[in-house]
This record gives sequence, C-alpha cells and structure tokens, in this order.
Amino acid sequence: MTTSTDNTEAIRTEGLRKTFGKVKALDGLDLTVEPGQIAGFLGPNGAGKSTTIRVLLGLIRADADSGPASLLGLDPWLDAVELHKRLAYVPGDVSLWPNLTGGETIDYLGSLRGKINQKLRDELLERFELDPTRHNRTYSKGNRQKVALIAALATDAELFLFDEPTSGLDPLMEAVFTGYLAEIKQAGRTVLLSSHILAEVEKTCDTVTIIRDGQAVETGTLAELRHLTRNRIEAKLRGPSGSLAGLVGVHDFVADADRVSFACDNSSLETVMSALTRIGIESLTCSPPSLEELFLSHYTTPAPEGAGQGEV
Amino acid sequence: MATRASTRELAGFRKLVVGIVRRNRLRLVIWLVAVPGVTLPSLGAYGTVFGTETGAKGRALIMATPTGTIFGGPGYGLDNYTMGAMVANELLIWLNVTIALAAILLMVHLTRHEEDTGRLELVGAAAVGRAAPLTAALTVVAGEVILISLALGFGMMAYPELAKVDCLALGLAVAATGLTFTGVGAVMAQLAWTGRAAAGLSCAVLGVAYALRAVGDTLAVQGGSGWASWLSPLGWAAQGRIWVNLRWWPLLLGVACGAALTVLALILAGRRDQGAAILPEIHGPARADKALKQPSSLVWRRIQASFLAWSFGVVAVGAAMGPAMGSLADYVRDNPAMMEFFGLDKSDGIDPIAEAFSGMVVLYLAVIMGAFGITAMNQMHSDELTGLVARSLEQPVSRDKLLGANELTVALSTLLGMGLGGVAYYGAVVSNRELDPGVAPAVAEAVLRSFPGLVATVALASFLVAVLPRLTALSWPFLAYPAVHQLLSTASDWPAWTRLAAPLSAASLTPGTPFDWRASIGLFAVAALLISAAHQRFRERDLLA
Repeated sequence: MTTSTDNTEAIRTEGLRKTFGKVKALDGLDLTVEPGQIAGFLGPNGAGKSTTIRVLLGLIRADADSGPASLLGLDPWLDAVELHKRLAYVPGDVSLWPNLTGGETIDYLGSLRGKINQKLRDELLERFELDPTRHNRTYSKGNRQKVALIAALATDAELFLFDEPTSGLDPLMEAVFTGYLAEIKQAGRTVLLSSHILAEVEKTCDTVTIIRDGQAVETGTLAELRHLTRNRIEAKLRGPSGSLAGLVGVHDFVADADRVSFACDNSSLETVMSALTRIGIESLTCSPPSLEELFLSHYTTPAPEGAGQGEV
Repeated sequence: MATRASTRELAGFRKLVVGIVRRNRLRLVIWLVAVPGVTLPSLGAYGTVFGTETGAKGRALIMATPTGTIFGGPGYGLDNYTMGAMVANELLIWLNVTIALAAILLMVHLTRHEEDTGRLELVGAAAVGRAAPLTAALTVVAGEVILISLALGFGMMAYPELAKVDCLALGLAVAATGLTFTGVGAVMAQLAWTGRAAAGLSCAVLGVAYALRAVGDTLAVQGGSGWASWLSPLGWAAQGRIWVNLRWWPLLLGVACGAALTVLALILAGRRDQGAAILPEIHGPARADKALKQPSSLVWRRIQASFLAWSFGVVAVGAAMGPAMGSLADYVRDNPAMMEFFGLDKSDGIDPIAEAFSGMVVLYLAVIMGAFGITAMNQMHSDELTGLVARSLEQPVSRDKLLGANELTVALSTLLGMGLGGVAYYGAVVSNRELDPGVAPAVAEAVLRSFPGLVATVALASFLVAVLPRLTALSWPFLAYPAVHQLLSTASDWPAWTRLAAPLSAASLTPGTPFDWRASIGLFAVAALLISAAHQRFRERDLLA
C-alpha cells in the first residue's frame, strides 16, 4: 500500500475551529497523523471528537477563521468526493436505512465507492457472525455497528476513521476488530481511532491525542506521554522514611510502619531513588502511569492555560 | 386454583396503569385537549357559513357529488341539510379517522414499542402478571378514547342547534371507532415484529376501512347496494344517521367489534413469547440487487411503500369518480346553485358539466399525489436528522448528487402516480356510456396539465428541506390552497391573480378550458429557481446530524 504523495501527513489540522451558536466545539485543535500510523483519539463526551471527525468528513464546515485541515493532502470540504473514495468511516452510533437488509446495506455502501472485495466481505460476515438477511430495523446496536464495520473493512481505503467503533460489540467481536486493525497496520494504511476503551487504545495505537474542550491537550507516543506524569512507587524500607515526604517531586506520600507509597515526578526520580537507597530498600515496585491514569489526570483537573503546548 | 392463576396473570395491573399514565401524561393530555379543542370551536362554522338556507343547499349539492361522498359520508339529511346533518355527514368521518389514529399510535406505543426498546423486559422481570402489561395498556387507551368521546359529545351540547341525545350518540360513535382500533392496534402488536410494522399494519386496516366505506357509500348514493360500508367500522358510525334519524344499534357494532378484538389480542399475547411475533420475521436478500447502487435507487427503496399506498389511493379515487358522472351531470343541470358553483350556463350541454367536474377530480388527484411528493421529499429531512443523509455523504457522493437523486426520484414517482390516477379516471370516463366520448381526451390533457404544478410542488418541498429545514411543514398550506381556492373563489369573486398563489391552482386543470401555457412555463421556471437555490444552499450548509 502506498500513499499518493510521500511526506504528506494522512491527517493534519492546525488551529481547527468550529462554533455552534455560542458554543466553541473546536477551539484551535491541532491534530497530526502520519501515514501508516494508528492514532488514538481520546477525550470525554462533548470534548469535540465527533465534531472533529465530522469536519474531517466534510459533513460540517470549519469556521471561516479556522486554521487549515487536510486529509491525504486534500481539503475535506472542497474535495469531499475525491477524498471519500480513499477513506472509510465507521460512526459510533450507526443509523441505517431501516428497510434494507444488512447485506444490501454493505453492498450499497460498497457500490457507491465503485467496488467491493466480495471475498473479504463474505469473510468479514463470517468473522463478525452477522446474518446479512435481516432488515436493519431489527438489528441491535452492536449488529448495526457490525454492518458499518464490514462495509468499511471490505474497502481498500488508505485511511480509516473510527469513532468508537466497538462501543456496541461484545469482547469476542472486539477482539476480531482488533485483529483487523493489526492487518490494516501491517498493510501500511492509516487509522484514526476515537475510543473510550483505553485498553484498546493502549494495545493498538502508536500515538495518542487527548482532546478537551475542543483543544488537543496532549499528543505524542504513549512512551512520550508517560513522561508527563508521575510514577507510582511502593517500597518496603530498612529504616525510617525520615525526610522522604518533604523531597521535591514527591506527592501523596503515605507511610505505614516500614512501607511507603507515593507518586513521584519523572524529573525527580533520580534524587528520590538515591534517597531511598540511602535508607535501604527491602522491596520496591515502580509502576509507570497507565493510560487510564494519564487520561484521568487530564480530566479531573481544570484545563491548563495554553493547553496543547505540553512539554514533550 | 383457576381464580388464583387468573389473578396472578393480572398481578401489578394497577401499578402498571398508574405508571403508564404518569410516563405518557403529556401524550395523553395532548390528544385529549387537541381533538375536542380543535373540533368544538370550529363547529360554529357550520352554523354561520352554511347556516342560511341557500348556503346549506349549495353545501348539500357539493356533498351529494362522489367527491362529497368519498371525503364525507353517505349524505343522510341532504334534503334538509341542518347543522347536525352537516356535522354527522362531513365531520364525523374525520373525527373517526383521528380517534382511530390516536388509538393505534397510543396502543402500539404502549405495547410493541415498549417491547422493541426492551423496557417491557424490565417490567416483566418485576412482580407483574403475564397478561397485566397488555391489559393495562388496553385500559389506558380505552379510557383515553372514552374521555375524548365524552368531551366531544358533551362539548357539542353547547350548540343549541344540535339535539342533545344525538350529541351523546356522536360521542358513542367516536368511542366505538376508537375502541375498535384500540383492538386493531393491540392485535397487530402481537402479530408484527416491530412497533413500526404493527402501526403500519393497523393503519393499513384503517385505510381499507376507509376505502370500503367510500366505495359502499358512493354506490349507495347512486342507488346501488352499499353493503361494502357495512364491512367498515367507519361505515357503522355513518349508519347511525345521527341528527337525521338516529338509530343506536349500528353504533354498538363498533363497541362489540372492539371487545372481540381485545379478547383476540389477549389470547394471542398469551400464546407468544415476549419479543416474539405471531407473524414470521421476513428476511430479505443477503446481497444487494444490481439495481441498488445509486443514491436514486436507494431513494426509490425509501419511498416505494409510501408510493404504492398513495398511488393506490389516487387510482381508487380516480376509478370511483368515473361511474357517477353521467347522473351527476343531469343532477347538476337541474340545480342552478350547482351550475353557478361550476360557473356554467343553462345552455351548456352534458360535456361542459362533465368537464368542469373532471377539473375538480383531476385537481384532487393532483393534491393527493402532491401530498405524496411532499412526504417523500420530507423523508430526506427526517433522514438528515437521523444521520442517514450523512451515511451517504460519508461515501464518495456529492451533495448535489444526493439532493438531485431525491428531487428526481420523488418528482418522477409523483408524476407516475398522477399518471396512474389519471389513467384510472380516464378509464372510468371512457367506460361511462352516458358521456360523450369527446370528454375523454380532454380529461387526459387535464391530467398532463397538472404536471408542471406537481413538479413545482416537489421543488418547493426540496427548497424547504435544503434551505429552511425547520420549516418543511410550510409545504402543506401551498398544497391545500387550491382546494380552498376552488371552493371559495367563484362564490366570493376572488380576483384572478389569487390562483397564482399555489402551484396546483396556477394553471387551470379543467378540461376544455384554454391551456394556459404561460402559467405552465412559469411553474417550471419557479421550480428551476427553487431547485437551484436548494442546491446552492445544500452545498454550503452543515448537515443537521
């Protein structure tokens, strides 16, 4: 799989703005996804994830004073038709024409693109265990989602936009989807995956962008993001913890007899470790922050000023 | 033991009724206030507008036509057309259609819809008898129907012209129809797979009931046998001859029918699993037909069922109008008021009368298909709200192509339906030996004359969907205007330009009148302007959802 022009980001927005009435849904969003990457797109409800995707799909138009957006080097509003031949999208809340069957819907969506890989279509139907002869109005949410997933995965799109694609699926079906994500990645195609399931993102994504109030508050690889937060340290000490609690970079310090537990800034890790060594260590665990902690740390505190300028 | 089992079946009944009323109080109050609230004040019009003797006579003449029979009733009391006779002959049928729709929609909403959304499962898991939810829903809807009927019956007593006993009879007639369709809704909720299908099947029953009554009454008015009306709950109400020569027993037929259907629904409910249906789920093709690969073919799939229903209606009306025309022409010639209504002179022969009447029929056919065109175009608006328009635009489909596919498919199917209705009416005219064969070609021409107006109607609907999506209902007054214009313009001497206010009245549809090519070209020009404005805006604006 080759993209049309090298050096072109699969997705690039700079200072993307979209206002609905007085509500700033997107307030200067920067988002970059390199070709061949699987990019996670995180944020709580109402942060602007779906609005971003709707702008990227040309369903709604960015504000007049918005910065530029481009997908595969094309303008999502002006070149929508050209662009949609090369991308596939799965919404989180899939509405489908009620009087069509699932099979008809998949074929119809495929034929709008020109062609559909019949072999892959049938394989997907089998893997996702979908009965294509039932009418869309009788499908559950999960089954409607499967219809949209199969229609998207059976295409030869270069870029996939997934908006919480597994929110109605059971864990088995989720695993099937994750398997196809791996195949997409192997083929060098690009994915933007908006999700609430952090484990899924942690497992599959190369980079993560966290958005809040219409701005990207963090962006980078998972490894880079972990540097931004604190490690969790639990230790059993040979002596009294003494002045440990007062050290710069130590937070939430709890001591219980010879056991201590605290959070530690990455920048202070070295000084804190030598202090611990001086006291004497019997046992020690140092856990890097999980994506969940990372995520929660961004959402339980108020938005920092000049968000999006995180030191990476 | 048996009594214990049956009390268990109904366990929780009272709590369920209270819960249903509480959760649906707004819905229940709206029907209860709206139906009497719209009906009762407007009754005054029958007293004032048609209260004079000549007014009542002219009205009776109109109601004696097949159109009057189809849209009103069998015409009891036309020879002495009192206010009561008018209400029973013209209004009762629409009260009955309204109460039937209310009963169907409420019943399906409280039963099958609750099942579809899984809420009934929560209820069923509680200490609730198996028959209790359906019985509770039946009780609430029947109670609502009876309350609305009482409000209507007692409300009408405020008019001194209306005999009080007959007011009660009218309330009973409405209640009987409502109870019958409560039963229909309850039975269909057991038969169908989804709430939508249950509502659709129930409305189909209502449509058949209407058609049976229309055919039966039309035949009866012409001196034939009206047995078809006796197969219809809507016919029973009219046969009560309220305010003319009241008889109660036809009204009781509806009550009995409602009771029988209720028992049937309870038996069916006891025989099926929750969430299951008596009718089998209809599976469809696993692969799309080759034809289904364009937005236009998808639009056709979306509107197909509605097209079949509306064009069936237009064909039925067209065919029903033909047979009466010969005797109608004689009838009109003998009535100066009717001659004046159609703007005719005594010296005119049979053809001008047939032509004038045909103009009215063709207009009604066009209004019916115009209604189809508007609902079909508005489907795109509701599809936009539910995200289905987005589903197409996410694919390599331009906005122009999608909107154009809707406009083209809707316009062509509207014209096709009008053509079918026209052919049915043409056939009925041709086969009527009392008429001069020369009338038929003029009728065919009149059908074609309606095409520019229908295209403009669809264009207007498209304009609203694209430019003023919150005001799509604005199409309806434009559609209704020509009928109002035709009824009132001759009598009240409206200036000629007033016919230009709506697409279907702009060009005369009356056979034999000169073809107004300027109006027809004007309509196409307006349609082109509306469509280009629609495309311009739809290219620029955000999707609603």
